[in-house]
Amino acid sequence: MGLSRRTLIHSASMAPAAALLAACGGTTQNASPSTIATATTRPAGTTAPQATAFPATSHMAKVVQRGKLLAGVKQDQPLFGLLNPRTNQIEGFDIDIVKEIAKAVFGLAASADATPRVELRGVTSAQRIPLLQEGAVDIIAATMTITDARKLEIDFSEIYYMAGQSLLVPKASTITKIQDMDKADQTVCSAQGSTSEQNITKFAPAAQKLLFAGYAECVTAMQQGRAQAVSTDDIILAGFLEQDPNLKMVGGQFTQEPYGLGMAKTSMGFQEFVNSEVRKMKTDGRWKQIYTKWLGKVGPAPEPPK
Amino acid sequence: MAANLPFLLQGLWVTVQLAVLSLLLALTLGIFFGVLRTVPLKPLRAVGTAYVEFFRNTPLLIQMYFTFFALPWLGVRLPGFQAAFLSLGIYTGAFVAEVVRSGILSISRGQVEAARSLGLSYVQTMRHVILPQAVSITVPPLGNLVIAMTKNTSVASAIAVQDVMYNGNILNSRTFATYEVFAAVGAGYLALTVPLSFAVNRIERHLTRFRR
Repeated sequence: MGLSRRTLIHSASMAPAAALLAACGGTTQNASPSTIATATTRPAGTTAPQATAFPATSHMAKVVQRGKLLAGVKQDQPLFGLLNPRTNQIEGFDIDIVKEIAKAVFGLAASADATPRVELRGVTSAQRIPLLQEGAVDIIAATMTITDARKLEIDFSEIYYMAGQSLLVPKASTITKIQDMDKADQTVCSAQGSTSEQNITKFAPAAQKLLFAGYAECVTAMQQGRAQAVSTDDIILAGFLEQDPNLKMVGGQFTQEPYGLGMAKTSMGFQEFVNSEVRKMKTDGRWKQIYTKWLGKVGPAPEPPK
Repeated sequence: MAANLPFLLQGLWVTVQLAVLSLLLALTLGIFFGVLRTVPLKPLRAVGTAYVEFFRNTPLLIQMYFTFFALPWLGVRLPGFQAAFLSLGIYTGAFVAEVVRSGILSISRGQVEAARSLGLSYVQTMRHVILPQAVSITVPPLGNLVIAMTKNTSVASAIAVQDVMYNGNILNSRTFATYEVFAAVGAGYLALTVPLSFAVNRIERHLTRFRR
């Protein structure tokens, strides 16, 4: 009973997504290889799926049989998962990580393009855990912080990215660390009700705080001299950095937000498989490559997180 | 929650200051432009109309954002409180102007003609005949505006004015006691607006005591 209901929800929720993707594919046929068009015909240069490599009950076997890895990713987070309106494709750090996982599942060559083997679905933060639990996606790669509360609901991979709170300042600024802001004549801008704002109180209690609904207002306010720095997770700041060359990020990470890939607890053997793949990526240089591709502007690739 | 009460009260005090100052500005602008819309000179009336239509037909939030974020590009960088006070006063003034205009127009034309034929100037007619009567007519709708404006001060939290709404947002993120926090914030607004309602009713009764 429980199983049939889940299958029902699954197919019902995927149908519109597939239709949407097909529609998108039609309009961008020339610009980029469509994700749907190649679903039935195997792209040239790739080897046959190695279904036999996995135990029949494993989640990997299920994915191979389906022919596609279903992944939930952010589509509104610059650098990590952002819909490119020109190509109609979601792009970013998280997406490249998912494609590496897909290559491993389908046994593709390292140089192969995994795009046809991955079906991306844009998700919001609140949707991430429910979509995994109802089986609508195989994996979530959507800037998700590993927490104990979430571990009760889903499985996490090893840390694949260590985000953290940092400082965004004008290029001419002499501020180099959060402790420089710990003075009554310094103003830090952040969002009302964010954990970032609470961290400012913790690390620079003397600083004045200017709080808006979002970070775009903060950047404007800083450009107008109303604040000396904007502070939140470095990946959000990196997005602004990309847009305005007159800014710089300083102070490193003074908090840590470990990101993990999410999987359903019912996915047999998938966590171990993904973990071994994430570990390989970190040691064989692929992780650094992806980092440099998306976050190279922020600074040179650090050592991958442990 | 009780420990956080001073923090909310501190915000409520900012709300009161913002409401009182904005009201003074709104009444000043509203009476000026309301009268302007009734003068027998077309260009002056047009100025009044332009003010009213521009400011009452754009959202307050946009006007506040504009005053706070856009004026600096013109060399005017106002602190949050001043930007909020200006926008709220100018915005509400447009509504006050309409109330004042309707009050003036509600006095029958015959009274104006009578006053003028007795030798009163236009200003004297306004000062001694029209405005005293118009005021009592405009009190109920003005009361509405004052109450609406008091609640509209909450928009200022969007430009980081530390009013009761802003402090409520901060408290909510600290405690996750969403219901309790916003119930308290709501009670804070009620504590301002209910006495205001009663005051408006009293003033209305006072002004109309000679009417019957």
